[in-house]
Amino acid sequence: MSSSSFADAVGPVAPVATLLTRSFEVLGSGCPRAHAEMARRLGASTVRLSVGDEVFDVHVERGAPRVRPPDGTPTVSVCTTRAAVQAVLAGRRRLADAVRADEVRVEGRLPDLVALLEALEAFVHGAVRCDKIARLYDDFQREGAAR
Amino acid sequence: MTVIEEVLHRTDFLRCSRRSLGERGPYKEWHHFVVHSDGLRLIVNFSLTDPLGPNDAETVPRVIALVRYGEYSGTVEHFDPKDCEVRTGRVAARLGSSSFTLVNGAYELIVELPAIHLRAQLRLVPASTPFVVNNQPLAPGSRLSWLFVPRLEAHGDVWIGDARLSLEGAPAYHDHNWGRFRWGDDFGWVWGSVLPERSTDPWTIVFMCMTDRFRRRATRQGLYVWHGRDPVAMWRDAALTVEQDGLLRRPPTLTLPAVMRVLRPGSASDLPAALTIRGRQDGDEVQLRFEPRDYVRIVVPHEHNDLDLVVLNEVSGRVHTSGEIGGRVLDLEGSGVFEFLR
Repeated sequence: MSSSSFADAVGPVAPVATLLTRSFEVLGSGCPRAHAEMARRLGASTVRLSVGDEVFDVHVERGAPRVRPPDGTPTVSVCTTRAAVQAVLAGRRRLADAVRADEVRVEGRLPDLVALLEALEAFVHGAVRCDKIARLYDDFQREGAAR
Repeated sequence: MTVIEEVLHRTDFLRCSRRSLGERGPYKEWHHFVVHSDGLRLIVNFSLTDPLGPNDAETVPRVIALVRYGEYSGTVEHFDPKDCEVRTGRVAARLGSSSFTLVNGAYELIVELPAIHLRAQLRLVPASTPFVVNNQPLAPGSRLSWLFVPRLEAHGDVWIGDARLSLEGAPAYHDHNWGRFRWGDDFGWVWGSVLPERSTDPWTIVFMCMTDRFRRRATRQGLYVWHGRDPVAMWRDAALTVEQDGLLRRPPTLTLPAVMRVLRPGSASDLPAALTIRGRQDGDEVQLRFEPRDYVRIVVPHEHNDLDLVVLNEVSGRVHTSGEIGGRVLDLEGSGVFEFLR
C-alpha cells in the first residue's frame, strides 16, 4: 500500500492511524513514564499495522513512538480489523484468543513479538492514566460501531 | 428519629476532598452497598477520587456496579462533576442518574446504568447498629476511616434487562470509607461481610484485616459479630488467627474496567481456596470458614508506579460460622462478599 492510502482512509470515521497519533501525543504529556517506556520497549522495531483498509507503521523517532506511512520492511507485521481491536480493548475478547482465532495475525521474530506485546502493555498502562485518552477511546469504540 | 438514624446522620455524611482548602494528599471516599437475594447479588459503589497531579484538579466521581443474576455483569462509570450533586456534610450524593440518600432512617438507592441494562429503586432499612472507626493508619502518611452498617433490609425493585426482581427485606450491607492514601501505598486488606441465608437468622458478621502491601504482617484485624440489632462480640488483633488454604484456581468472572483485561488477562491470582478465622476470648469463641466461589477483579492504576496496578478482588462465596457468644450458640450459614486488595 502506498502512502496515499494513509490519507485516503480519512472519512467520516477517524482513521485508526489518526487516533493512535493523538493517543501518543496525549500519552507523552499525560503519562511520560509510560510513553518513554513504550518507546524503550519498541526499540528499533518498525511495526506495520494493517487495520481493515488502513496500513501504517509505528516506530520510534527521537525517543517517541510515531505513526508514519508504511515504508521499507517491517520488523513485525500486525494484520487485524477495527472490530477485533475494539473487542480486545472492550474486554470482550482476550488478545490471546483473538490471535488464536486469526482475528489478529502477527508475524515477526519471537523476541520482537514479545517486545511489541510489552510495548502495548506500557501503552495501556499510560492510557488508563490519561483522561484525554479515555475520550479518544470512547470515540474509537463509538465510531467503530458506525462502520 | 431513631438512635440508628441519628448515628448515621452524625457519621455517614460525605467528608469530601479539601484540596481547595489546602489539604494535601490524594483523597478517596466511597459509599458501598451490597444486596443479597435469591439468585441476585448487587454491589454498587459511589466513589469520589482526587486525581494525582495539580491541586486544583477536580475530584473524579464514579459509580462501580456489579450484578450477578445468572451471569455477572458490571461497569465502572465516570461522570462529569457537572452531572453530579455532591455536598460535604450530607448523607446523600447523586452521580449521573444514580444516587443514594438517607431519608427517614433508610437509604434510598437509585441506580440507572444503561451500559449494563441495570436499574434499581431500593430502600435499605438499617437493621443493626453502625460501627465507626476513624483515622486508622494504613501506611506511613496514609489514613483511612470507615463506617459500616453490617445489616440492612432491602425493599424495592431491581431491573436487569427485561427482568424485574422485587425484594422484600433482602439482607444487605453498607460501608463508607474515606481517607488520604494512594493505591500502591504499603498496605493491603481483606474486608468481608457475611449475611445469613435466612432473613430470620439473627447473626451478622464483618471481618477486616489490614496488612502491609505484600502481606508479610497484619497491622490490624478484627471480627465483629452482631445478634439482631446489637453488637455482641468483637475480636481484635492477637485474639484472632487467620489461615488461608490452597489457591482459588479459577479465572475471574469479570475484570473491570474492561480495558484492564489487556493488562490482567489470565487467571493467575493468589486468592485462597478457603479462609478460616478463629477467635477465642472471655469464654466466647468463633470459627468462620469462607469458601470462595467466584470473583470479580476491579483493577486500578498503581499511584506510585505508572507501570503497575492494584487489584481489588470482590470474592463471593459460602460462609459457615460456628461458636458460642454470651451463652448463645452461633451457627450461621450464609453468603459472604470478601474484598482482597492485592
